[in-house]
Amino acid sequence: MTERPFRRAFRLAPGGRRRLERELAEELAFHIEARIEQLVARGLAPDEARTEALRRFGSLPDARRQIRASAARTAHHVRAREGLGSLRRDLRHTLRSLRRSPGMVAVIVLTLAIGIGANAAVFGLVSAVLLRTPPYANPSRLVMLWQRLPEIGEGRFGASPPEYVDYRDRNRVFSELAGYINLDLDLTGEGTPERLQAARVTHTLFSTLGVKPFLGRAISAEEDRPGGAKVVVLSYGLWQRRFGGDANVLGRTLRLDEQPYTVVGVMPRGFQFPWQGTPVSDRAELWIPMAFTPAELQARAESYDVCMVARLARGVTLAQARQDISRIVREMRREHPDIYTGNLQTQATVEALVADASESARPLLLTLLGAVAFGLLIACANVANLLLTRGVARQHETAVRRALGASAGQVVRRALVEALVLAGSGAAAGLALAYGIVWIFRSLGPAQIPGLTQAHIDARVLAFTVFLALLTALFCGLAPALKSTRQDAQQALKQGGRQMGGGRERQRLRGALVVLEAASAMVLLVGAGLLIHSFIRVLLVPPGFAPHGVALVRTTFDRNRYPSDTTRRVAEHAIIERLAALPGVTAVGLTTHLPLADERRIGFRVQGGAPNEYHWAQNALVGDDYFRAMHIPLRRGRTFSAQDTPDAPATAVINETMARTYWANADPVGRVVIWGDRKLTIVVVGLYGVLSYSVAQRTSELGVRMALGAQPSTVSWLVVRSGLRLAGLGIGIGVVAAAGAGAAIARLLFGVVPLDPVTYVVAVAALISVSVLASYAPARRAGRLDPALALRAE
Amino acid sequence: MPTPLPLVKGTLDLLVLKALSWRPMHGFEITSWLEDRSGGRLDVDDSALYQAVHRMEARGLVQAEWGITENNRRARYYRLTTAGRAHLRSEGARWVRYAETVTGIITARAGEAPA
Repeated sequence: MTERPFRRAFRLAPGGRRRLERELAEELAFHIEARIEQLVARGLAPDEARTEALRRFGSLPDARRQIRASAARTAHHVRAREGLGSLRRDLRHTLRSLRRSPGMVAVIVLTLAIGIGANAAVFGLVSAVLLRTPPYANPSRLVMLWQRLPEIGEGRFGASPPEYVDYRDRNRVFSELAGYINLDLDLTGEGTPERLQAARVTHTLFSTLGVKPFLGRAISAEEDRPGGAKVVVLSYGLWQRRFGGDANVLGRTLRLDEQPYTVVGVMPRGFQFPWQGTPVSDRAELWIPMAFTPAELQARAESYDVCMVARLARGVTLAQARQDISRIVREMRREHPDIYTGNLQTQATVEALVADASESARPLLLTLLGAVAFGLLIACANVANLLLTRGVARQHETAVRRALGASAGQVVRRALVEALVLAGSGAAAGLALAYGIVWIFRSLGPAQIPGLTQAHIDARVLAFTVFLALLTALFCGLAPALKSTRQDAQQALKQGGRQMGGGRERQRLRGALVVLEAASAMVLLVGAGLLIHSFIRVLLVPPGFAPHGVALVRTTFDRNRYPSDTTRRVAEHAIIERLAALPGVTAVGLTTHLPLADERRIGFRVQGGAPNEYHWAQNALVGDDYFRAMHIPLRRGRTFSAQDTPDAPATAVINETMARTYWANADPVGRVVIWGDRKLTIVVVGLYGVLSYSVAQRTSELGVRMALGAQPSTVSWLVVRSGLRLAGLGIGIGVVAAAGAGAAIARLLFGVVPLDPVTYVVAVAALISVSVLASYAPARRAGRLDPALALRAE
Repeated sequence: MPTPLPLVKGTLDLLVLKALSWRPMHGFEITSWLEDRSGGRLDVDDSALYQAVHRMEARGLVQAEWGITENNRRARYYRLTTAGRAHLRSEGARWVRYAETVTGIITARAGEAPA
């Protein structure tokens, strides 16, 4: 036994103690026998040879004991080494076999990526907007108090100063109540002048919120009185940005709207108020004392600027607070019947601050969350289906490996490796996608949604979604492998390759999946379609002016720097003339507020109408040439002219729709569209994947049909028809569901009815196209099948 | 057959490694190889040999795998690992130096200085 004696036939993973014993016995027995043969060959009698062989071996039990100890140690090392080696082998094999079905791999990875990515991203957004905790002490006890004027319109307003005082002094439910007015202030003096978001606040604000300044002190009660000292509290951000975090900032004087204010405090990092002001740039950066003037305290119901935040007293519920506030409103209306008349039917409501901030975004985000969660389920179902199909298709291969001596563990391990590779790739792609989506939303999302700028990928959510995907992949990848290990290899070999159409039960399952996908795709398509349609309608509404070629210069004429109207008008004229003299400038107009960009609402009454019958209108104070500069056509009458001086009778130009209803601000709509689109991809990819795979599964059945004389075109048609039947059923169910969903989002729509026929027709057409495409490609292949090959295929 | 010499302690490992440095062998092949090479002058206890290979396997100097002999019998084959080859080189050199030194001392004539 010399040349080429070493022929590896088996790879035996070292097993338990029993195997070790067995192998040791076998090895030693082989030795003894070989020795006997050798001695016999040298001429000894068999009996003598055996005795001699055993003698030469020495003490058998001793040897065994020692060898056993060594072997046990070896087994440990070998297990680790072999495990790694065969893992590498499994990995190589998996990559090779996956390369052979790139379509399926792409569908699985893409599906998982979209499912995981969308979920992690949306949860990141939702948690940033809905689940974040405001930086106040015990925020769940904080409430916002709003007034409403149901006769005039929807929406919530603040109060006038006298009403604020009533709520503050008469309530029995709040431990503290504070008022604030949002405003802009010009910071001038040292450094670059800038316009800052600020708030006039009552001295009770910071104690109501339960937040102490980081440096210095808050506003005192003395300063919150008419004629009180002018002081200012800075935000941490402004302190850092404008004063480089200088601790000596306390006591310094800032010029705000040309008035000197002394810095008395700096709020801690992360503090923000008002809570609603979303983008960082819109948040108040400084707070000055409210210090209502005696005139303000007399002007009941003439303004609605004072917003109110309060802390519920111990043991008081939200419902009790609402009751108490209603009582105060009733008292006010009884005491001032002359004011609360006509449509000025003031009411008041109390909302929890935490919920309040994102009230408007809540339904949208929750809908979204539901949609993506559903999407992830669909994704998992798709992956499950594809992996199951693949596992079943590989039962033949598995049986061959088992017959060649692969252990059940080895078979299962290979399936596990494959599932892990697929799920891992999907998860990695999903992670990238999630980051992309959140980035897009953070930078492009609607500014009105609070907290959006702080959205980020939540590690826990990501971990959860990846875990879910892995679980799906593992479960679906392993189930067929486990089943095949229990199966008798011979039987599996006999069955393999004789599977017609992939089994009746499995086909029914796949059919159900196709129906489900088509239905959900329909709902999403209709939803997205309605929202896109609304968005286009919003864009198509003529703004009433020609925005092209209009340049904008924003400046402030400060009341204190230009105390008299005359000096201001002189400066305005000088600026207008200099601008008009620039080459290429055709008209220069002045306005206080820009259409669609700024908001300035005033209440007005129509002459001849009931007393106290108020209406609201957007308005702007404009100069002579404003209409010409903005290309706003004049329908009737005249625009302003030189004769409209302050002393002349007041004039106004109104727009055509003023008499009609005021259209709602439909801002968020445009942003929603993106979602609708993206969600769609999942389902369409899934629909395509499942449909085409289910056709591929019928290869051998189709082979039989063609062998029996069916025409290729007949076979193709058969395939397309069965695909379409399933998709059609799904689309039908989807139409019904979409009608329900459409009604639910009716409030978000603009200029489109929830049952908009165009949207439905387009959605149905799109889905039918996808279904035809998904079944036609494999159907064509089926039509070209060589019947003999198809029969053998599997 | 000359009277076999008992094995000096510690040399068996070296001899087995040397045998395996030629090619992978099963246990009986190793004993046969040693008997051939020594002309039957070394007394290698068979059980000691198996203890040695298993011990070296545990230390990672050799690696075992089941294979088929020419006569289609299953046997456990051993081959050198990289560590085993390195061990053979260094321990072999040490053994040679040791043997030369001892030889030099005990073969020196009286009065002669040791080399």
